[in-house]
Amino acid sequence: MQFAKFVKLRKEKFGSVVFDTLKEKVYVTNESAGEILNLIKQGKAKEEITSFLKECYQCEGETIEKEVSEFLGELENSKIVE
Amino acid sequence: MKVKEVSLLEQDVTPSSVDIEDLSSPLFIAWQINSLCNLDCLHCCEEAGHKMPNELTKDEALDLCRQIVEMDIPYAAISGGEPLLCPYFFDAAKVITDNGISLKVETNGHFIDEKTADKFKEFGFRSVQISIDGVTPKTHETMRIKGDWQQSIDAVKRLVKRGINTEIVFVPTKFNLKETSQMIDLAASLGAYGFYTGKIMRIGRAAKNWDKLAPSEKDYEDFFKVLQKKEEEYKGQMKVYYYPYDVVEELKYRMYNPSASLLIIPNGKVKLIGPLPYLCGDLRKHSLKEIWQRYKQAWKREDVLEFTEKVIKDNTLLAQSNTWIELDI
Repeated sequence: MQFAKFVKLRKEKFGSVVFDTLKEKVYVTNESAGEILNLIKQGKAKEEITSFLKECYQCEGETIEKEVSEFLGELENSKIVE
Repeated sequence: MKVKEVSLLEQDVTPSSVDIEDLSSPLFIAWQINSLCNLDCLHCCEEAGHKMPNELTKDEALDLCRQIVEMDIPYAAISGGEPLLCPYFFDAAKVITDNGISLKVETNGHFIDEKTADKFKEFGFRSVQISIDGVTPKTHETMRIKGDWQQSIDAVKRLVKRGINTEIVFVPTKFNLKETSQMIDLAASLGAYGFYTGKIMRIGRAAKNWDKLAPSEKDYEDFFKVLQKKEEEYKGQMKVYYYPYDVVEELKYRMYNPSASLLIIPNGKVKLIGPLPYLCGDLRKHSLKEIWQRYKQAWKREDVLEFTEKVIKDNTLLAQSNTWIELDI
């Protein structure tokens, strides 16, 4: 999983700004979504992202898996990642 | 973990859900790298043509590029004048693109020969925008004095052939409005990635030639109907992008929702926004980081907001947009 060409990520105090500069669309996220985006930027796969977050937040596996899947689905639908 | 989408205006970044106070730096830099131009267009907002006194030197321009990189600004556009007449255009573009920043180049296309098109491909620009204002040389060259329609068309072909995202920009006027539909078809047949248009802005030379150029409201109604139809027709094939508001409507919105962008003119001064005369910084006196803070402060000033209100009430004041006023911030 990686960002589409010309998609840029920047960390801000409130979370992250994702800028699809080709489509000229800006997306803003909160901090937790920003963490996932940062992991994508590092080239991590979905499973790696999920296990990293499970460790960080010490939440139930299913909850994290569901949230990550939904979020990644949104990113794919918006063509932010490919 | 929801992501929130916010559409942008062409060349004008607008994260309306984010207060610019919350952003560490701009999201977009519009940089007029030079004022020299080989054309003398009737509708040029920048009144380009001759070199501006005190334009940035190559060293100063490259320093600006490094500041753009340091501030992690994701997207920049270089225009002019005609940017390919700037002797350090490629040096500046290299610093920007080598550091992963998306770069759009806005040109009349006259200097994009085979060799330059190869170089453009190497640089990996986000896109190249070429201005074409008619389906025939006559229409295009009536508006773009000294322009050569065929050269611009050939430039599009060379870029498209190399797989470069090529966008055609079309400014509607009394001369060409009736060609809009054919113009979009032409852009699609050339393989353009996008077709960009919107109401002509009453600034610069366009303000001086307003009576000659400005379409009527009825003309605009027809124009937008054509655009809607064509947007649907070319869905999935070519992006037909149009901004439906004029400069005054834009100002009404901007005075309370400033864009997360900076507009840098060739002498290194930074304009608050194209249609207003105010300058909020000078790269020879301030760092880009300082200018971003000054920009945010400038939009809160009473004198700026009062003058903006006046312009909204009397749009002939837009003609003063290139008579710069330096704000004492």
